[in-house]
Amino acid sequence: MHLASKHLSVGKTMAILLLYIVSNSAFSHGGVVAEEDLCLLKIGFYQAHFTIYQPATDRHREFCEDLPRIGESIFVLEYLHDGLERMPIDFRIIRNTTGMGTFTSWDDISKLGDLSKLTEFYQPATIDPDLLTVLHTFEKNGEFVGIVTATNSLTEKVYTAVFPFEVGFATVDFRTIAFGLVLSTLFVFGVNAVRRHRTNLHTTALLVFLMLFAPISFAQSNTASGEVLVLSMEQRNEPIPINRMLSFRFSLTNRNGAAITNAEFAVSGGMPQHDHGMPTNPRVSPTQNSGEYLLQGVKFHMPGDWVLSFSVVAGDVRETLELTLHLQP
Amino acid sequence: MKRWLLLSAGVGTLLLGFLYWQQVHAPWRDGELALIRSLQLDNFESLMAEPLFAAEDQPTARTMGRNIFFDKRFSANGQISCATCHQPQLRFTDGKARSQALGTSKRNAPSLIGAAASPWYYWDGRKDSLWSQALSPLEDPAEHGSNRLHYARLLASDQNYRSQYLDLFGPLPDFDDQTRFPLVSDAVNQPAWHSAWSKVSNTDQRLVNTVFSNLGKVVAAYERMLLPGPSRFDHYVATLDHGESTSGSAELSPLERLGLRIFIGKGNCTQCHNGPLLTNNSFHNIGNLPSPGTTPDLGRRSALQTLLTDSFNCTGPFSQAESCDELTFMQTGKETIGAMRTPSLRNLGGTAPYGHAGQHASLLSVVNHYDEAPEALIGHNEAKPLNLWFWEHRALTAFLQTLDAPPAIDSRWLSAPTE
Repeated sequence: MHLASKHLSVGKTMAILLLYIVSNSAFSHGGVVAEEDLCLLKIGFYQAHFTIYQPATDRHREFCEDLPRIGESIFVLEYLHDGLERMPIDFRIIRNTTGMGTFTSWDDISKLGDLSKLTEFYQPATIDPDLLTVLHTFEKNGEFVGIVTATNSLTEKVYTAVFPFEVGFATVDFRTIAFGLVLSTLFVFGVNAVRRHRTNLHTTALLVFLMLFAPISFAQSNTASGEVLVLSMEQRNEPIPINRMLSFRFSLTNRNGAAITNAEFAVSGGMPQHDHGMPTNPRVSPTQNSGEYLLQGVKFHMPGDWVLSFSVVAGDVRETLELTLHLQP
Repeated sequence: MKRWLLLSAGVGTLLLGFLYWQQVHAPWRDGELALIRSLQLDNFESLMAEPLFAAEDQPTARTMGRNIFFDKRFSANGQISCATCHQPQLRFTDGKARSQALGTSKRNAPSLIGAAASPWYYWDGRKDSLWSQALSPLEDPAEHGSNRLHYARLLASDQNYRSQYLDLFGPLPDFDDQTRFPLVSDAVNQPAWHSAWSKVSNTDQRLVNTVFSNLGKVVAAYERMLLPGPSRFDHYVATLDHGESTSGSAELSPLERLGLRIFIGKGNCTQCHNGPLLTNNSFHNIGNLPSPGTTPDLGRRSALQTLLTDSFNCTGPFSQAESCDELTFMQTGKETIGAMRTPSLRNLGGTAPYGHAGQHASLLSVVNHYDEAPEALIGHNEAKPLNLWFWEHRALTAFLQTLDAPPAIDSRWLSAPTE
């Protein structure tokens, strides 16, 4: 019995440890993270992350449909789907006279006939590489429908998205309520858990220890090994400076030390702890020496822990090799 | 019971006292000291970009550049000079949220002090050299609003400029032949100018562009002299010995030292505001709100295409740069959306309001913004909330002011020539 509980607690500790490591090495290159996509706009089978802001009164607060006030409103559509960035997309807001309220659909709109009389705002079609932003100032409260139209210029197929919304109706932010509920549940749960499992204190202690000393464990490496390939950076006598354009020589071998020539590389990188990538777009070219390559256009714009990630294609072998670097200020 | 109360009050006071000492008075540790020294103005010169042209350091180039910088004839209406938006007494800014010349600019005028050390210009970095940057406002309808041929003629018609140009670059071409070099009388009429310019032969366009780029280079030769001077912070660091100041007069106040501790520590400021100019000259989305009445600014993302197609860029025929690595390897990914260039923190006195569209009236407002780190309207805010105490906001603001100093340049260079 004693043994079993010990096993369990070691397992739990390992799980927490693993979680901690994973959460620290989670990597994203900016842009929208999936769990934040509460509000999606579907234009045919294309999708865009959709948000409305009223910065003058509500600053950074995000609205998905209804707007609490009249006034300056900014609609942002961030394209999540390849394809939208090549399509002319227009944006129309009409007064909703369908009587269908929040259930208004494209069918209801098409029955209205000529939309120009009902149009509150129209932005002609533009092609934007990443996102569409629209600014409109609402003068009056009311029910409206937003209509986004994307045209595929090759097939001339037209995709339409319709979103009914209200302006000037104080709304309850369900996200705040949901967040509050989750938080209080967690709190009650947490207090009970601590009461029941006082022995778990050492887990907490371990976590605190990890938080304090984890940065030190982020060791610098000059060599990255995959299942087949080994990448070794040249040794540098001086510390790597920040904010300088740098180049590095490195060699690529297999695990037996034989040089790998004609490999192709895609290099990316960034600071996992800060959630951002490189300030430059580095490239690799082969040198005259067999199995030796030159990495150019590398710049580190912050002191701290960096990762350089090499996606290598060498014949049939595809591997991603990562180097970790620690930069002093 | 009473004894317990007294005892805990005593322990509490001791603890607070220790925390205060540790945050404000404790000597800097080695790691902190290295970070602090890396922000010193020393070695700033090594950051300077390569020379613009052979005669760059000649007094003639600097004088000519200074004279043009303050010369209002270099505009469509004869009322606008570079100094309209870059006023020497305001650390070469204009004190406005968004600059006003012939029209209203999209963004806030940045200081020019120390500008020569940057690989990129403008908030979005759409120019990659100081000389090339100097050309843009001259033809921007919202700024000086005229055209390159007008400016080339102006150089040729002014006796001083003509002889200075001769000294530096050789004789100016003759622009009198109006069939080759069309005269657009209404200088601000952009469509008429573009149509006239498109009819000029390639050879003649090249002649005009060479003069125009040289005009940018002499202005840049002057701007390269606008170097930051040592600030209270630099004097303080110079007197540090074993992590403690050895000079009473150079000492920072307790609040300023606390601010410095936050600056290099929990404030995460040195992630981007690093090196002697307190900038990494890179591009970051920090989630500032758009200026009222405008959609969110795409920032760096909107500059990429402009940069690559600019004939006055590093790889173009008018550039003498030996290396164009910055342009060749520039980041073009989605993280450039809404990203703006990190400004130097060396000129905060007199340069309010702050932010790419002057969104922050005060430094305190900037600090509050970073503390909150709200989600960006477009793209993704790189900053994370700091959870600072309210006094830490004040401390950080107090420290930031110790970085400010007048430029290290003789005052005769800070005003129009008096002849």
